[in-house]
Amino acid sequence: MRDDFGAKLQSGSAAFVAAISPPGPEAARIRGDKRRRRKAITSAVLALAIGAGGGGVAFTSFDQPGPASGTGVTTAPASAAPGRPGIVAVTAKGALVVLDPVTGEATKILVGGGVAGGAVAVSPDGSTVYFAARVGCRDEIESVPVAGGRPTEITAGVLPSVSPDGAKLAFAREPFSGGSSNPAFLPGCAQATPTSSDFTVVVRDLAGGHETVYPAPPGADAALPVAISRLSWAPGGQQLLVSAGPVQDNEGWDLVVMDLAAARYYLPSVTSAGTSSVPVAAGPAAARSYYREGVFAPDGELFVNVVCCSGEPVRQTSSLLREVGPAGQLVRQVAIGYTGRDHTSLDADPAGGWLLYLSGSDLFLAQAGKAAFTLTSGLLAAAWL
Amino acid sequence: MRDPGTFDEFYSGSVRRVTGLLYAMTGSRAEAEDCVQEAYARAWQRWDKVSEYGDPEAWVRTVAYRVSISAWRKTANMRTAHRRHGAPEDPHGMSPDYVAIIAALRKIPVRQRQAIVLHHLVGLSVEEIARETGAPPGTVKARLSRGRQALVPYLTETDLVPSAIPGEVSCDA
Repeated sequence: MRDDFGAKLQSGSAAFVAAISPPGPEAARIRGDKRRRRKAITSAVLALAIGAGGGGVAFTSFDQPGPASGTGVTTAPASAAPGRPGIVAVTAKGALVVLDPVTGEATKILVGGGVAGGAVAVSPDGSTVYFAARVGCRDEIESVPVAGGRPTEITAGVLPSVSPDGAKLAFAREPFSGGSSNPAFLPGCAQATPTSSDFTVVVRDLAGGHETVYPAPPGADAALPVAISRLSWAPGGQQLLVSAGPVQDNEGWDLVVMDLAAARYYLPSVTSAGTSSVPVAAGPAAARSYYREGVFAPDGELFVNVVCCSGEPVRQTSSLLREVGPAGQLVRQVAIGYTGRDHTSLDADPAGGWLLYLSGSDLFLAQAGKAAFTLTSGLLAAAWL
Repeated sequence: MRDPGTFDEFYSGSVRRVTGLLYAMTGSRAEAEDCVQEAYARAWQRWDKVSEYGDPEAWVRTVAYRVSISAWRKTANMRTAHRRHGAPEDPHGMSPDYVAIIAALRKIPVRQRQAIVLHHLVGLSVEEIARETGAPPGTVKARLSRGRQALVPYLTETDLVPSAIPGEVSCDA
C-alpha cells in the first residue's frame, strides 16, 4: 500500500484552508473580552446573592480573584454551624482557605497562592492541613497550621492523605503534572516522558521521615503508567485505598485496596498479595462502569463516584455518588452527578454524618439520608476540617 | 498586559492551520470554525500568559481540540447549527480523496484520530504528540497503530491507508 495518506491529507487540508475565510482577529478578541466580562458579572452576582444571606462582603465563587487580602473575608469561626464541620479548600486561584460550612464564605486564608489541586488533607485532630504546592517545576507536600502560620515543606509529592492516628502521611510521587497547565506549556518545565517506574505510592513516617515506597508491579507496561488520583486511609490505618486513573483510551480505571503490611505494589499483581480491586457490583451497567474516585468513610464503607462507561469514544451516561461496601455492594445512593463533569475531592467527615465532593469546581455537601446541595463554586479541592 | 498587536499577528498567522486541523478532527466546517474561534477567544482572555508560552499555537490547538470533544457543546452546537442553517453543508469543491479521508477519520475513536491528524497533518513526532496530549509515547504509538488499523476498512478502496511509523507497537498488544 502506498503511503499517500499523509500527502493526500495535507494537500486536501491545504485546499480546504485556502477556501475558507476566517473572521479577523478582532472577532476573537471581542469574544474573549465578552467571556471575561461574563465571568466577572457571574461572580459578582453570586457574591451579592450569598453575601446578602451570610452577612458582610462575600466572595463565594472562587473562579475570579477574591478581594484583596484583609477585605471581604469574615472572621467567623471555622465551624460556624453546630454539627456541620468546617471545610478547608483550594480555590481556583491556588489559595488554601477555610470555608464557613453554612455560607461558603472564606473565613481564613491559610496560604495565599501556589497551592495545587488534587487533594488536601487534614490531621485527625484538625490542627494541621497538608497540601501540595507547585515549587518551580516540581510538586511538593507542605503543611500549615489551621490556626495560621508559615507553611512547612515536607517532601516531594502530591495527593497527601493523613493516617487516622496522624503519624503517617501517604502520598503519590509522580512526574510534575503542571496542575491545570500542561507542563509542556510552562516555560522551563519540559521533561522526559514519564514511564511506570516514575509513579509510586509513598507512606512516610511524619516523625522520623522514614518512607515505604510502593511502585507499580514489575509486569506493568512501562509506557503506560497508571497515574494515581486519590489516596485514602482505612479507619484502622492498616489499608490504603488507591484511586487509579485510566491507562489509555478511557480504560484501566481501578479502585485498589492495599494492605500496607503485605502489599509490595500499589496495583494488583499476580506475583504479590496485599492488593485487590474493588469490583463495581451495583447497577445495570456495572460491567462497563468504573470508579472515578473512592475514599473510606469512618465506618469502613466506601464513598465513591461510579461512572459509566469506560472506553472510547468517551461518552458518560451516568455519574453516581454512592456509598458502597468493601465488596462494591450498594449501601445507598448519595447523589446523581452531572455527566460530563469530574467528581473529585470525595470526603466523609470524621463523625460520619456529612459527605462532601466537588462536581467540576462546585462544592456539594450531603448529610446522611438527605439530598446533596451546592455550597459554593470555583474550587480545585476540599476536605472536612 | 495583553498586547492586541502580538495577538493579531499570532491569530493571522495560525488560524487557517488550526482550522484545517480541527476540520480534519471534526469533519464539520461549522464546528471546526466555532471551536477554533472559542480557542482563540480563550487565548485572548489570558494572552498575557499564553503569549509567553514556547508554542502558543500548540496551546490553541489543544484548547480547540478539547472544546470539540465536549459532548455538551457538540449537542448544543448541532442544535444551533440546524436551527440556523439546516443540515451540515455538502463538502463540494474538495477532492474525493480528502472527502474519503475525512469521512474515514470520523469513524475511528477520537484519541486515535487526534494522534493520526497530529502526526500526518501537522507533522508532529511521537514525542511531540506525547507532550502536546499529555499521553506517554507508548500510548501515542498504540493510538497511531490502532488508528491506522481502524482506518483500513474505510480506505482500502482508495489505497490511502497510512504506513506504520518506525517503532510503532502492535495493535494486538
